[in-house]
Amino acid sequence: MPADSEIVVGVARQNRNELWRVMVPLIIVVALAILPLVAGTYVGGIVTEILVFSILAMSLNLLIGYTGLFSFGHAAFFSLGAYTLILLNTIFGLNAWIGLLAGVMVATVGAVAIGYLCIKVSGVSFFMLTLAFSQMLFSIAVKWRDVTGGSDGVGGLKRPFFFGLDMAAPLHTYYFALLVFLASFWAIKRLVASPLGHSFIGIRENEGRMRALGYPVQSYKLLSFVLGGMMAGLGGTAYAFLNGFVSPDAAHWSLSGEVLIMVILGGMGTLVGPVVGAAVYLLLKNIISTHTDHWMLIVGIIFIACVLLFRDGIYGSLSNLLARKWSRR
Amino acid sequence: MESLITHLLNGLVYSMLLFILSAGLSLIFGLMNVVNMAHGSFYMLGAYIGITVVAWTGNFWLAALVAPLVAGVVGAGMERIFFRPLYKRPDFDQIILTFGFTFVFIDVVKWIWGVDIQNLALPQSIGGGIQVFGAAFPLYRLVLIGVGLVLGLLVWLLLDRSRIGAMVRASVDDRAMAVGLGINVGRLFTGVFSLGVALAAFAGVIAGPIMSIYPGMDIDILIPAFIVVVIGGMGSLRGAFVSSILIGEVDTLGKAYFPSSAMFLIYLLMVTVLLLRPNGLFGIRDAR
Amino acid sequence: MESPLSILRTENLTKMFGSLIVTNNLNLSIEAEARHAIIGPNGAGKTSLLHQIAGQLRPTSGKIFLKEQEITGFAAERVCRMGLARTFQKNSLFLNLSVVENVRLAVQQKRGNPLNPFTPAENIAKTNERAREVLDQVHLGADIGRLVRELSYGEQRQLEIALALASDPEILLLDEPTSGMSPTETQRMVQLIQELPRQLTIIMIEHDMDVVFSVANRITVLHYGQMLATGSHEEITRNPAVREVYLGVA
Repeated sequence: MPADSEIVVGVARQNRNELWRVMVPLIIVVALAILPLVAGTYVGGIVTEILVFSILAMSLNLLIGYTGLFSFGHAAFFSLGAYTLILLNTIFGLNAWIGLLAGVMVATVGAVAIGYLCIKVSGVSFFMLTLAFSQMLFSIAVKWRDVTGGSDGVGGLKRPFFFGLDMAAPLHTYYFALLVFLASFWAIKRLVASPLGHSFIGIRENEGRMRALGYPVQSYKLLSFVLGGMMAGLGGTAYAFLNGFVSPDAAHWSLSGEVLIMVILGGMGTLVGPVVGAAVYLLLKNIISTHTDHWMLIVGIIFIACVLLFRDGIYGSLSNLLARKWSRR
Repeated sequence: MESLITHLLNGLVYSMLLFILSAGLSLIFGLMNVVNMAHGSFYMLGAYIGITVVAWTGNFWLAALVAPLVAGVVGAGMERIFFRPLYKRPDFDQIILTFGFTFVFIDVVKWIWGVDIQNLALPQSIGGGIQVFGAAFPLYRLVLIGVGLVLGLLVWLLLDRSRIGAMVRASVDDRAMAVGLGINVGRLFTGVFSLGVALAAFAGVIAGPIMSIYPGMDIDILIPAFIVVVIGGMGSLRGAFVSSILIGEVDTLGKAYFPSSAMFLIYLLMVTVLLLRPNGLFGIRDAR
Repeated sequence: MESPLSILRTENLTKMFGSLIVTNNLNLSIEAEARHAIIGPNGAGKTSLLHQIAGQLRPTSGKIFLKEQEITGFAAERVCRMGLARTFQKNSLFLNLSVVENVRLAVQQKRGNPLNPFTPAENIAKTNERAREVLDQVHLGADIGRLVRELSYGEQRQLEIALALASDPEILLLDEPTSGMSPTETQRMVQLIQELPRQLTIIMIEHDMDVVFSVANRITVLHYGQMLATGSHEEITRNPAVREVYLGVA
């Protein structure tokens, strides 16, 4: 029976942890909210990019980290979203707000079609098949010059107004990206704690057992694939909205690779990991690259270190460390 | 008719390059269940080492020898130091590890050799052209086709007729059993990986005179190699040979006669094979 | 020949791996509410039989009927939804999740809404209450928050049964529930099985004869994939073929 003093300390520790758990996210959100006002347009632009790629990384993490589906074709849905928005706007003059919705819908339909076929195989075949589909889209983006502009890409998005605010202004696009990011983060947060999220985790942990418990595992895998593709489409649409431009690079497998690195770097299977990974990767790419030519070497080394030694990623390893320290005190 | 012959021959040249490249990739996958995402990086490394050797010695053939040697050593070191700890982990970890190395390789290449597009000069001894079915065709390219065929034969002999080859084939077929039989599978892994990337580097050198050498060439060659291995069947040398010819010709003729749809058709072929025959056309191993 | 009370039966069930016959024209009939043990030497095809019934393995030929509905070759998830649950000989659990999270996965599939993408699973009262109920049933009620990989082997075996029970089965397949257990753990497991509801049909593969005789009211002896004998405890022990092959007595 623990002594009274121990109980008091235990409760105090719990209260302190609870406080941290609420304060830290609050501080971060507030900091993000005031960032462009204090740090300027250049930093705001970088953080905008980080926010958009965080959405993409979180969407891939749903597949890889939470369901155990190692997809290498996520660029497909990112590009479907982006191209849909830009093309509908430049060819048909469709309002970009509606284009946003359309982009997500097209990406979702694409995810259903591609996912349905990819789910039929697993392991390395799944990896290759997702890659093949995304490259098919890449080839369309490159070769269908008349529509997609080929390797030059297509630009000239006419950004809409939001209650009188011109969305072309960097400040406004920043807050737009922040809102979309926060909404996505919250959605994923609810999802992974929900019965559906736990079903995905169960499939990752022990697929055979899930079948023996009555779960139609194939359907759940497809659902996970589609949800991930849908969110990737959102990320792509947001990306095109921000840049006003899209090129076949958005469908190239190297983008899938970069997002994969972000997920692993940050910590796959965690909520915050992909965000941290996106931030670290893009900061290295955009800021370190101005000081040294060797940002890729640095990323490569850190990534290799993560795979070999810190498999839980930067965020994952740090939070494990902190959890152990706090429970020991 | 002339141009068709030329295209067919050029297709064969590309096929042989793909074959030498993908033979290694296929073997590595067949034995170690690792998709070596850094395979293109070794191809690139080979080409650049070739440039340096030629710059120092003026001897192209020396370069074609040194580059694969260096690549083999680097590959062996990589496998022993970085792959070994990952044996017990799921295959995915090894795949992403190789992907991490692509970043390191490309940076090192840019660091040492710079970012400009470079070229390897054609070796003087086979610089001319000859008449093939009425079409003028560079001699070097014909030699390349020959080299590809000979190399294929040598690798096949190694796998099929030698004791080491038997051990490799046994380990591909049933790794646990091979270990049980006392085969040193670890050393086999290092050896096969080393040989595989050495082949890739060799392909890089001999491709040098006919293709541009630039820091992105690793990315551009990787997917075609993947396609060849997937369609041919992972782990099958014969499969790699047949599908290299298929892809090489389809790609070259496609670029000549159907430039807008060739790429798409090749990916469609890859998708179809993966869905209908996941083991590839000649697959001996379950591409799990 | 099936009795009108058979809840599960096989008809000329055969399974071959190449030329190796694992199940040989088996005609097995299980009565409703029975405690039916399946015994036999190693390699007799007991686990393979379970795999074919529960959907992990596809029979080569023959048929399987569950409540007179054919389920031959049905996938595991389908068979489970028809009222059959199983445990595995080698623990098949979610090692990196907690005990209650494990059982919740089983419960939510049967009684909850596993497609709910929004409500935190730990807040869903119905699922959590049922999970605790099942865990109490297998005497793991005190360990709900613990990580499964930290449980002892015996506790993990108990959890195996919890997962199966949480699927609300009519038929429970137990694959060597006491394998690897100490005498104390075995006693506890026997008690657990004896406490299971009467209406539940239990089919149990076991090697431990004491357990078989404590729990089973009907025993089938398998030998090289064929049924050697079926009957009560006394009938089996008196059967000369069984004595020779299995109990080692001439």
